[in-house]
Amino acid sequence: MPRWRTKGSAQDETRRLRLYYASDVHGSDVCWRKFLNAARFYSAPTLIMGGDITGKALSPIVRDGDVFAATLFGETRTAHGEEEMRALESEIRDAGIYPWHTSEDELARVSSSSDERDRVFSSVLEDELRRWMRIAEERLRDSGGRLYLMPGNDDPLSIDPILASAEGVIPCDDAVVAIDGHELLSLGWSNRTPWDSPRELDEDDLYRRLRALADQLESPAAAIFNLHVPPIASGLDTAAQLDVDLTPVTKAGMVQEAPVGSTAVRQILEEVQPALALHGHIHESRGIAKIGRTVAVNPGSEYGTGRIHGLIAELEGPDVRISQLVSG
Amino acid sequence: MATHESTSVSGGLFVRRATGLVREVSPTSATIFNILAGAPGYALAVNIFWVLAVYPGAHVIAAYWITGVIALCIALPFAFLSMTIPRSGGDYIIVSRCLGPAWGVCSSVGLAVAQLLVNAFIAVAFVRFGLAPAFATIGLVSGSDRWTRWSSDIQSNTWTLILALAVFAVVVILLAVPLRISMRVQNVCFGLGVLGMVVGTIVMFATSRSTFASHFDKYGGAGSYNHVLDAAAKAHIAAPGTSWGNTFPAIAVTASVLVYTWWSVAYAGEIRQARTWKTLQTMTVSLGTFVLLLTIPTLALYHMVGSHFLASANALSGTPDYPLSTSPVWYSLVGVAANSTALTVFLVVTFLLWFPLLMWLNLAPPLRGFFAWSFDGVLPRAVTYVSPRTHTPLVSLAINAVLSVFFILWAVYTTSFFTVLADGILMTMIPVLFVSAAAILLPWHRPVIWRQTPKSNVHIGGVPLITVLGVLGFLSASLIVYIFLRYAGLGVHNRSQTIAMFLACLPVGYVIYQVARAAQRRRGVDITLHYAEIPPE
Repeated sequence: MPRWRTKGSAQDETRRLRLYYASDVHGSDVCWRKFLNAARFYSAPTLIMGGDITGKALSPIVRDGDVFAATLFGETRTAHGEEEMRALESEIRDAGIYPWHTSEDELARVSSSSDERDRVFSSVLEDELRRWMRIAEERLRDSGGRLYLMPGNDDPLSIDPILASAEGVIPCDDAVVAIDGHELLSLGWSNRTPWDSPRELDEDDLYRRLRALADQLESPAAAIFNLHVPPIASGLDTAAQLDVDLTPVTKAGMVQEAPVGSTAVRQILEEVQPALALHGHIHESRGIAKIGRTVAVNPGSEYGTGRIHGLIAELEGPDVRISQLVSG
Repeated sequence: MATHESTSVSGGLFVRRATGLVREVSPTSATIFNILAGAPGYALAVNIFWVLAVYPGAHVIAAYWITGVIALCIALPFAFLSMTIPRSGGDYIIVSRCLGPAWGVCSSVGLAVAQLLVNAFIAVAFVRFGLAPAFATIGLVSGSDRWTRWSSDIQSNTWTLILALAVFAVVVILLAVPLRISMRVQNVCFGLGVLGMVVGTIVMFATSRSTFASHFDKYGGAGSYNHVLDAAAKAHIAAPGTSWGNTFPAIAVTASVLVYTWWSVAYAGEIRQARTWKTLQTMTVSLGTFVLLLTIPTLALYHMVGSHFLASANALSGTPDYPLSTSPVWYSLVGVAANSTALTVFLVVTFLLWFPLLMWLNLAPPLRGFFAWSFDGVLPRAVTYVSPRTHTPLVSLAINAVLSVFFILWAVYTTSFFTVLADGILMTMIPVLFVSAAAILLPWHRPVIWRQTPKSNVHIGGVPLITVLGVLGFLSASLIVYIFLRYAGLGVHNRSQTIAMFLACLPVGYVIYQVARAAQRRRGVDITLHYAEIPPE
């Protein structure tokens, strides 16, 4: 796990920092392209992506002559010819699903083998992520923006080298980096979830890792914490209660909700009291909360609709002057 | 620490292990919730009483089924748009995303006022339609004059206000305590309410008309059953099912309890995997179930007392020709038929439980609306304060409570009983009209969202399916608005005042949005950016 610190002018600058933060785009192509354009759109040259970048599903596109068939939103979609196929591909990508071109025979073979499915999924996911990084490089070059990027608990560990190799993209996971007179402390790992996702830690381990990062801060009061998982019982972490079968628990037809954030994150925020804490992870728990003096934000996510939820924030020294939730 | 990826095959996709991939909430659970929003026991009492008292010849059963079709047309745009935008927040979220935030505020203002009006009606109805006839029924069956006297006393304005505020206070406390506790209370109320209705229906089917007539004569005096029928004949009160002209307004009355089958959109949209057809299925099933829950007890009531007698009793209630001191609502007639004080008390208590349950459900959407407004910068962020101890939105609740008290005062002192409900139902049509309009315009106004709607490739006569569904919803809601304004017996006595209130949500919503926009701009926040779409290219 990389741990580094970028030495910079953390204390010697007090100019205003305007940033745009979003998280949990989960492979949605349209959300990624909107995210990259947000620097110009919101006049916020600093972009921070808080994790869970990669998609969760892959849609096989099966070719039969000039006809292409794929499953999307529970329906079979067909496309006739290359042009319609490209449109179908875009629609699949915009929904956060990876398209995979295959044949009936290959699909049958891969579907029946867990190892083959994993191999195909990883390969397509990594190819798509490289494509995203190329788009990012082009757009950041044009806009002059800076992108601080970290994976989240749902992102496979295999993507880290891809993120690190992209030009103009600043990988910031498990690190403290300087950012216009502030320090950005980032960690994409979460506490344990029922899904056993790739980047999870027990609360004790999570706290130890956060503590080690926080000890590197020079001006904690002006710091920005970019922690994928929100603090527990903050209103930013309310999700459906699940039974052992991963089914939401309901009573009289109403879904039962419960806080599912991290105790370690809450503890570190209470102890360090940074200016701003950026979170994601719980898509349905969009909101802004105060943990002591810290402004803690979870912009939520609706990546499947093609709208990207984010936060515009302006900081001046240890003060958060503006914190505005937006849906672009 | 898990570093592997394990994929599975689901619905034609390869799906890898990741957070958030929950299974669907069962359609049964969502159906129960949607049925709960209409409170069948209460709906049965209000519906029959209202229709037969004012429009006695109406085809009551036919009105249930026709309204079921209209309610389905209203639910369709909600279902399709919530399948596309699977988020909690109901009309505000849908309209904001599809038409724009200012329109979302207008829609939300309409729904908030509607729910405050309906809640004010329910609070007053708890006393005048719940407690008063309940006391009278107990007094009648037990032979206690004290209960009968209390029934009369509590209908004064002062007692009505005190008791209405008392039941409202109970509801506010329920909303302020931890959800775990309030859900338990809700479940008990719902279970007992349904049990009372089932027991009542069994008694109705098990009691012959002659037995009922003899028991009615026992309480009303010898020959009183036939006297009611004779008096009705002299007054030319038609039996149910003899006038299609009176069925038309009966549709609007039935709509007052049936048009809420989209209610689950406001609460559970984002966690029901709402992109699937289950959303539409739950709304359809809940509608069908609700219509059956009205139809079967009504047929049972007809079986026990006779449809002509039921119409006569409701039309003559409160006149010297109706001998009993209690209104002829279903539970009081069952009490008379059963001739049992214990059963009567049981039915009365289970019936009364529907009122706080309904108020509890009605207060939740305005609370959520305030949250959504606050997130969008329309209201101060302090409104979203959630108690760290109880995890309940105390500030939002307090604002709603104060507003509710004003509406209850208005309902008690300055207007007639059904006017409050009629105005409330009309205001409920505002979000329905906005959501329908959003569905109509979606393919042109928000093509990216439209392409994600189910069956977006289906066109009917060249018109996108979602637009056709929007037109159906818009016409259905417009029909209900028309009927309420056309038939004064439904409660709209001052048509111009009601229309003014109906239309006022537009300027009020617009002004709220613009004031918020100006105030936020002074703080350096541009709220027009909240929903401004970032160009992807």
